[in-house]
Amino acid sequence: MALVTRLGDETRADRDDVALRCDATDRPLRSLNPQPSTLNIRLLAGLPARLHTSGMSDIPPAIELRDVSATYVERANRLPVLDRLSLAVAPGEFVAIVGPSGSGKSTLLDVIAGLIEPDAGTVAVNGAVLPAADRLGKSAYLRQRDLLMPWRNVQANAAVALEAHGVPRREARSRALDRLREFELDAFAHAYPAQLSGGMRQRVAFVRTMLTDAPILLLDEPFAALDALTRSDLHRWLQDVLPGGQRTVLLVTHDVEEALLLADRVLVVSPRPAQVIAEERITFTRPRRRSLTLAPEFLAAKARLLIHLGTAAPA
Amino acid sequence: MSNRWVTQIVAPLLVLAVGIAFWQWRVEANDTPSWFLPSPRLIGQTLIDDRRLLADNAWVTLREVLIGFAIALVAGILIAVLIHVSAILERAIYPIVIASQAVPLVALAPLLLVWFGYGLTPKVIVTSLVAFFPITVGAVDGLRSADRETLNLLRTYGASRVRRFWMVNVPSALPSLFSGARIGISIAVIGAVFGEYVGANSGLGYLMNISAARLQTERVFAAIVILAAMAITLFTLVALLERRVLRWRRYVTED
Repeated sequence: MALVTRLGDETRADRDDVALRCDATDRPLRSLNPQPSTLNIRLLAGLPARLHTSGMSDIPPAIELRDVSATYVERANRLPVLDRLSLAVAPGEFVAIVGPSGSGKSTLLDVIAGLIEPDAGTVAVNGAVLPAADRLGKSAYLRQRDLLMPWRNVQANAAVALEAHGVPRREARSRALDRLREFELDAFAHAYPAQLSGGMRQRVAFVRTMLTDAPILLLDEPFAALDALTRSDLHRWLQDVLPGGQRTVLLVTHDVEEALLLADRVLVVSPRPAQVIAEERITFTRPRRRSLTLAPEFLAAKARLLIHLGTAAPA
Repeated sequence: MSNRWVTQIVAPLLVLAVGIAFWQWRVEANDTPSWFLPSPRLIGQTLIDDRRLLADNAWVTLREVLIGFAIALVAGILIAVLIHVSAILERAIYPIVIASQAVPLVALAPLLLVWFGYGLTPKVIVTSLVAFFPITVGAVDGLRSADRETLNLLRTYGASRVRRFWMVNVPSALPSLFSGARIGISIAVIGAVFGEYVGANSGLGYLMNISAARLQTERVFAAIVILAAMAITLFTLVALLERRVLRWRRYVTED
């Protein structure tokens, strides 16, 4: 008989207050290239990156990519994934990148994290252009796969980033427990990942990520593998535990709704090789609850983004 | 709980008991001479009567097994780490590791006798030679099985290569290292007995050899019983250690 206990992930219905709180005006999307995959895309590559920042011009952007190109090499095949891509994210800003599957969004995050050195272009963190090796440790990465180590319990998994930095094990584990308490996950501190549901595992992975204290969070479709209810639950959770403005967040997703719920700004990238083809500033007041997704302003913004993604016909 | 106890302990014992009873019955019914096939009762009697002789020789064999296995474990892990950290060493060492298994022990054992005499050394060499292969292969596979994305995650956390190795590769290697060790300890017993068969003046293999020649077949069977018990016990000890160390696997496999 299975003695495994499924912990967490109460599949409660969304109990959001029904009142819609949004102040977004139905202004047109700043369209940089209404017809992707034409030569006009090149226009964007030439623009100075500062143009797409949030306007805090005196502070250097937390992340700034200039004309970054990257190729994916698999045996004899060389696949251009990023083509002179430029973007900038202001400190404390939450930027979502949406694009079709396989458009090189993950490669983009790998480049920023320092796992990949681009073929061309520069990557600056807090205003300083850094080579890949020096970018490692500057940002915390959360992926679609939670990457929890099955042999470590929740507390030990949360401590992974600290231990990787060389923090002594005891101190790392006790700091991890403090943080788990903060996120109300301490009840599961001694459970193993295999005993947890997908949503709980991703929460633990998130706590592990937060413990790096890296000012930049890179989220690579962290909720894509979860069911819709759990995902919505985690959207709410993320907004509660991640108060705006404290961390710079770059979220890669193909879920337009997720991008609109979480981000300050949404960038749309083209199919491979990826370039930024459109952007939309999101000004709905926070916290944004699930009910917002039914508001006309929200639906309008969603439609605009979908048109740019090429998955919806222009109205 | 009780259901599990029945299937894991009672059922095999029952099968064994029925087999032994059948054996006893056939030997008695046919009046089979004991030099041809001794009855289970006679074997049991021999186990009691010859307990000192059997215990002394069993201790010799057990020592060979334990020393040989320990050497195999240390050497196997060291070689696996070398193979893992360097592609050049992998190409240099792995073929030799595999070739070491192609050398027929039947040919090697007499040579070891010439070089090292009748003592402990040639048996320990044969034992460690057979046990180290599954341990090395298990460790190499285990080290390789480490998840790439997890390793990359640790890179983004700024972990050094050595730290990544300890935090990801080593724990990933443990399950298959233990599988290798379980196989290794079982065949280490065979290795030790084989070493004794070729040339020795003590040990269960030696005892079986001379007892067979003297047609003391019940003593051969008594030695086999001891050897089987030894192999099962050693295997169980490794398996118990594995369960203790790899506690987390319970949740993964029962899922």
